[in-house]
Parts: sequence; C-alpha cells; structure tokens
Amino acid sequence: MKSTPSPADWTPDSPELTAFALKDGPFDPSVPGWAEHRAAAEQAVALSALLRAEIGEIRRIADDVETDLTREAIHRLSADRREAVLAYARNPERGLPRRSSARSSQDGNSGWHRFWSVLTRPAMGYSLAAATALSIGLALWNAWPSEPGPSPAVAILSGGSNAPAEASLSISADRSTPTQATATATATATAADAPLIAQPREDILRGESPRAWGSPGRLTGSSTPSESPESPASVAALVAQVKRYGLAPSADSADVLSGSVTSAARPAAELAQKSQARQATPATSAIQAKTSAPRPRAQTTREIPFQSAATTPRSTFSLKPGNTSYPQIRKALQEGQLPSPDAVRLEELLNYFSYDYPAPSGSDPVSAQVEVADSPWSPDHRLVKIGLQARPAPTAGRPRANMVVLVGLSPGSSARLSWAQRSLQALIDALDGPDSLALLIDGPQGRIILPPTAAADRGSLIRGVGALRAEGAPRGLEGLRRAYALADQRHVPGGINRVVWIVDGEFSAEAGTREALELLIREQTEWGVLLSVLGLGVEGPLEPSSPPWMPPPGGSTYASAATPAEALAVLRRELQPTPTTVAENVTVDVRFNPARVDQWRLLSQESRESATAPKASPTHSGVQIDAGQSITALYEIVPTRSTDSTRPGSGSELAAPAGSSSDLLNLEVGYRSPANGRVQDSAESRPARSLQMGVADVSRSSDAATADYKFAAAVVGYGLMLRDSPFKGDLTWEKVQTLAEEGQGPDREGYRAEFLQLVRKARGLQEGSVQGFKPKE
Amino acid sequence: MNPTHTSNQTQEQVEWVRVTMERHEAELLRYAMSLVEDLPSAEDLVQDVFFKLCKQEPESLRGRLVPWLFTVVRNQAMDRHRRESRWPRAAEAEAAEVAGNSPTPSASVQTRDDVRNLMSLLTTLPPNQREVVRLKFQNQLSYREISQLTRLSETNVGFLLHTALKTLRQRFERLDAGPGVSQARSNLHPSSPQ
Repeated sequence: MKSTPSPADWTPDSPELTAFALKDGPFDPSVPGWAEHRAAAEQAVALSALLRAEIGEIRRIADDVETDLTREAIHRLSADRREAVLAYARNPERGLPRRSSARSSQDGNSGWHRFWSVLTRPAMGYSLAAATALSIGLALWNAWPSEPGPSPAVAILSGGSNAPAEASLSISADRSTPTQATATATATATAADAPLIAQPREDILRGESPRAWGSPGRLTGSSTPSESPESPASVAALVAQVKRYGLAPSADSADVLSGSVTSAARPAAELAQKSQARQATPATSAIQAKTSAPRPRAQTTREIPFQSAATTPRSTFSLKPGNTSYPQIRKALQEGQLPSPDAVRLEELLNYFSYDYPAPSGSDPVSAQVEVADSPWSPDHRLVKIGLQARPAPTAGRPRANMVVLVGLSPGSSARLSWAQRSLQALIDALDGPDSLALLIDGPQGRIILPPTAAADRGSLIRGVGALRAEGAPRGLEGLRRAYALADQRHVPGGINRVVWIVDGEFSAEAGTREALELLIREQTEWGVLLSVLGLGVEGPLEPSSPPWMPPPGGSTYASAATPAEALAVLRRELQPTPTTVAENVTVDVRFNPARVDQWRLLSQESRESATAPKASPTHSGVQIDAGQSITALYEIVPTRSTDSTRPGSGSELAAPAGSSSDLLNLEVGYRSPANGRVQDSAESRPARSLQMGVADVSRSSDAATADYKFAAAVVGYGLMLRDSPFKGDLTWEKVQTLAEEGQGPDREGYRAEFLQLVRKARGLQEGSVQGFKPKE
Repeated sequence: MNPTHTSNQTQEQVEWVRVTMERHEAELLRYAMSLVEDLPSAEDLVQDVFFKLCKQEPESLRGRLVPWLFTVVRNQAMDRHRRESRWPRAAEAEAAEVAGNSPTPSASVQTRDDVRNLMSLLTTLPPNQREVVRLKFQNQLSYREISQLTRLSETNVGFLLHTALKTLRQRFERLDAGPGVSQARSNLHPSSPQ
C-alpha cells in the first residue's frame, strides 16, 4: 500500500484507520518500514480523540466478529477421506483414488467422534460411543467446550534430589495384604546425627482406613487473590467477558474468572455493570481496569494459637499452601518498607522453599519425614518439622517435547534478559535429543531467532539463546500467533507441546486484545498446545483476574519469577507433562499424645475454617498430591513435663511399654491411589490406604539439628519477627540470621542465599524503625 | 514426485501430510463451507487440497503453507463454481445450523443471541466482503495473505474489510438500540439493510 495517505489526513472513515486498528496491512510488522509508519500513525491518533474513539469501535466490532466466527461449528474430514489422502501420500504413483460417492461420506460417525475428541481433549480418548458423543458434543458445543484438564498449581515446590544428610523415614503403605501386620519400617539412617531424627516406630498395615481425616475445605486453602474486591471497571470488564463467552455458570475453563465475578459482583450490581460494560468502549474500560486494580489486601489474619492436647489431640495441615506471601514480603522490603503483618503467612513462607526429603521407597506414593528439636525461640518447647514428599515424576519415558519460547522483554531490562538466557540454557540441558526448541522475540522487531530445532543440535540452541535480545514489550496477539505457528511445525501428537511466553511487567494489553488472546489460547489449548506465561521480575503472582493477564484455559499456567532461580524452576516444570497425581483423597492426621504433649500449635495462619482438629468426614475426592510435590509443616509443642508435671497422663509413660504411648505424636497420611483415568471410577472402589508413623520425643538443642531444620526454623522465625508475633518467645533477629546462615545447606538454586539477604534487610528496617515493634513481655 | 525418494523420505512426507491435515482440516473446512453448498462438497474440496499437498515438497511450502492451502481451496471452489456456474452460496444455512442446535443453559442465551445476530448480519454483506472477513477473523490471515489468495490488492483488501466492519457495526448498533430488541433480533431478515 504505497499510496497510503498520511495519517495526518486520516478521517474516521479511512480504511487505513481500520488497518491500524487491526495492526495489519501497512501496519503488519513484517512489512518493511512498518515501524515508522506506525509511529506516524500513533502521533496522528494521539492528537485526535475522534480517531481514538473510532479505533476502539473498530476493535470492538472486529473482536465480536472474530469471537463469533471462531465459534462456528467445527467439521473434520471423515476417517476414510483422511485414510485415502494418507494412502496417496504413501504411494502417489498409484494415482488418485476414485472418489466413492462423496455424498455418502457424511456418515458422520467418525466425524463426530473426532469432533468429540477435540472438545474433550486431553481428558478423554476415543472410547465413548459415537451416539453419546453426538448428543453430549452438541450440548458442550453450545455451552462452549470445557477443558477438564487439571490446572497445575504454580507454586508447588518439589523436593531436592540429592541424598539426605540425615536419617530418613520411609513409611511403607499397606499393600494388598491387610492381614500382614509386621513392622517393616525402612529406616535409612546413615548420617551421624541420626538420633536427632524420629525413628520409625511402627508401620501399621491396614487394609481399609475407615476414617478420613480432615475436611476437604480446610485442606484446599490455597491463596485466592480473587477474594479481594475488584475495582468496578475490572468487574465490568469481567462481566462483559463472562457475558460474551457465557462462562459464568458453566464451570468451565476460567475458574479464576468466575471466582472473581461471583465474589465481587452481586446480582443487582452485575446487571448495572453489564450495561455499563456494554456502553463503555473497551479502550477505556481496559485502561481503567489496568490502573485501578489495587493489590488485594487480606483481612487481618491471626496465627493459630496453642491448643490443649487433652481436649484437642488432633490436627491437620494444608497440603496446598498458597504462594503469594514470600514474594509480597520481598517486594515490600525491596521498596524499603516492612511488609504488612497480614502479608506474612507462616505456612506459605515455609513452603516457598524446598527441603531435601527422601523419595518414597518402593511403590509408596508419599514419604514422610519428621524431625524434632527444641524450639529455637522457646527452648522448653519442641519444634517439630514434618515433611511429606511425593514420588517424583518419572523422567525416563517422558513424551517428546516441542517447546517454543516467545521472549517479550522491554528494552532496558537486560538483567531480566540474562536471567531468561540462563534459565533457557538450563532448559536446554534438560532437553533430550528428539525434543525441539524454537525461540522468537516479541516486540516491534519481532523475529524468529531459532526455528524449531532438534535438541540434538545443542550448539544451535545455545547460540540461539545467546542471540536473544530485549527488544520490546509483548504486544499481544502477533507474537503469540507466531509462536503457535512455530509450535505447529513440530507438533508432537500426545507429546509436550508448549509455548512459553516470557514477559516482564510491561505488557500492555490493548483494548480487545485480552479477549482475542484468550480465544487464541483456548483454541490452541484444544489442540494440545499449552501456554505458560512467565513474568520475569514480576513480583507476586500474575493475577489472572486483573488485566492484562488473561485467565488461563485449562492446562495453561501463569507464573511469576522475581529471581532467576524461580524462573528456572518454572521452566523446568513446564517441561514436565501434565502433573501426574500420585495420590488422591490425601488426608493428614497428626495426633498428639496427651501423655507427652500439653499444648501444641501449628505454625500457620488461621484460615476460615478451623485449622485444628480434623473432622471425621466421609470420603471425598479432595486433595491430590502430584508427582514431586513436597509439603512442610512445623508444629510447636509444649511438652507435659516442662509445664505441668502433675498431669495425670504424665506419669503413665513410665509404665507404658516402649511404643506409642511414649510417642510425642502420631502421623497418619491417608490416601487413595489415583483413578488412572477411569472416568467412572468412584473413590469408594479404590481402597483407602495410609502411612503411619510414631514420632518419639527428643530433647536436644536446635543447634544440633540438620541444616534443613534450621532453615525451616529461620523461615518461620522470620515470619514471627515480621508479624511481631505474640508467639515469638525470646526470638531475636540475631537468632533468625544465625539459623538462616547455618541452614544454608547446598542451596543449589540460590533461594536460601536470597532469603538471608531479606533477613538482613528486614532486620535493618525493623531495628531502624522507631515506631512499633515494642518488645513483648 | 521425486523418484529418488527413499522410504525414509516417504515416511516423512506421509507424516507431514498427516500432521498438516490434522492441524488445518478444520479451518479449511470452515472456509470451504463458506464457498460451497454443503458439507460433502466442502469435504471434497479439502480432501483434494490434501491430495495436492502429497505432491508438494515440505521445503517448497515452508513459511507459506497456510496461505497455500487456502489458495488451493479457493481456486478449486472457483473451478467448481465455473463448472456449475453458480457463485458459492452464503452462510445462511450455517447460521441456521448454529442457531438450531439443542437448547443451552439459560445463562448463555444472551450470548447466543448475539452470535446469531452477528452471524446473520454477516450474511447480509456482499460475498467478497464476507469472504475477506472470514479469512481475516476466522482464519487469522493477514491482509497480505488474503491479498495473495484472493488476488486483490492489499489496499483493496483493506477497503473491503473496512467497509464490512463499518457496515456490521452500524447494523449491529441499530439492532442494539432501544427496547424490543430481542424481538427485532430474532425476526431480522437478512436482506434488510435499513
């Protein structure tokens, strides 16, 4: 389009304005001279409110059209037609097959069958009867295809892999022989400090666990930023979106989205906002939403207080702790402020880090490890560290990976670029020969740095990573479309097909882009190409509910990485196939022995439900544990002897045989084997199993504990100091720092070193600050 | 076909065709459906495209595979049209098909109405505008790609799109205005521009 009139002469009716709004034609980034053209156009548009309004309108209608057109019925070639093509490809010399009655090829069965599989991929195969598929498929199509795939949680820390430096317990699950009641504890106690670790007492083999510990609601307490009130504008935008896609009630892909809407919008307000959303031009609503979404503030949280073991002997802890607290604290400290106490959530801090736990032995899905020592802040208390480690995901036999990395970093974020490069180099190391990697740069000069290349050609991959540049913030659709196109080229059916979009905070979603993006992502997800958005240097989670981040359809993930180590962890995870569940209906039951324990307290924030005694609940398909996942919990215990030697229970220990009655506590992890894809497999049809272990009391200084123990104590102690917790005892910053230093361990990824810096920083801020933080009596 | 093909190359060729088919048959069928009368005819068109693809070298289509596929579909539809001297029928039936499917939960009824409206409005556009709109928004082709396969100039493509969007917008807004809208919507006659 050489004869394009100068943008200064544009009127609202200029076709060039449409091209500009659509970023196509002369504004297609692949057209030479595009950048200057765009700059001139932007200048003209900046001067004219009329043009800007028009652009908003154009994008809006374009978006509607796109939305509607992409929702048209999907047809596919029938199986016999496809087979005919492939037969011809195999042997073209034979000539074209005769077309056998094209009109009859509408027999439909295979077509619908395929249609169904597209809708439900990847959860289901081709196993359903075509007739069922037809009716359900139609219904689903009308409600928009749902994506039943699991949505991987972002902050599951997997345990380290090197050999544990301490004795470890591996508790064996009961097998198929409930009659067998032998103690087969497999203690792999090798290290010198073995006595520090609780020894396995008994492995109780049981065929059936009649009890299920813990209520599902309690245990699923992940952090939900969507609970905070949304700004009206973003609610309006969300409602508009919900309305457009018909998402709200059909528990479909955008669980986050519907969560926000239901919690934020009351029916009446929703109606008003619906109309408001209809009126507002997308441009303005997007801008408002972007600027006015405040950081969610949790309500004041309390730590769980001490409980009496006599009246409340049982406890449980969350298997899905949130992941926002630590980044929030870090952000505050980096801005030179102490975090709000509400932002400090002990269990989240603790689980931000990974600890070395032994992998389960044999076919056990989970192992448990417990370490006991005196509490660093209340020496007459015990601090009990409980770690659960799920079986790691198998590395051998991983499906072939087809990775496309789209880098959209603003110029000037060279530090972030170098993180990205380091992380990508580590990713290359994790790729196998047949895997492939492609690299693209987003932004104005967007280009392909490395076409899809087999990982066997390692040199090219490394050079490609070295050639990455920070050239521009992501611009939304174009870059991503290109990335998906590259993913197409090496699509591995049934393999890991993933686009990793590395961005910094500079993403500027333009009006309408968000929805178009979402559609694109949704479509590609249906094809089995998953997206991971990795925000580099973005503090805190990318909040899917607040623009510009779009809610991920199933299987796509968001993660933010404020440090290179986090970035690396995310990339490694993305190389894994969809997390495999190793155990379902997982319940944790910690039973304190009143003879030994006077009071106990879980170092955690109070959640909405009582975090204390697990209620006996019917079997539920609640908490799952995924391969490689680990969970850590700390309990502080007031032993009976130190507080009340006249307790009736305290004397009995002498008479009791060496066994459970001398235990400090008993840990039981109940679970069921995963359903293995059998859709109708009810929880009841798979026997409940459990791991049990007794934990002996030991009194020894925390100075003698393992590095992991000290580090965990440092992390929680840090939280207590930041909260100025009433439970902090005689804890000082000095002590926290010492524990953190002694607890550094191998620290392969630099997380612990960073923590130490944050300890010093917080200490400096708190000790330097005059107001507040009076010493507790 | 190159007679020196080894079986390995044949294997790769078959795989390439298979993957391409897997990836693109649905969008090609959608496009074909907008050009011909019925699904079997559209399937004929698309199957023929893949027969033709079997004879292509993957290298020769590198970077332009998608436009090539669309171009072949279009050319074949034109041939067919010439043979049968009929210009491809528009998408009324498709729209009706979408609309006529089984009932949906009430929550998405509003959205469905919008879809029907816009889809039926689309059928009121002239065929060339309709085609360009589909290629751009349904098949995500760029101005340049559309220009290549329709043999229109890029300026012309831009003009058609601009006009189409403007028309759709005006008609949609007219529908949207005022009470009694739903009545007017469902009774909309595709050919009533005013």
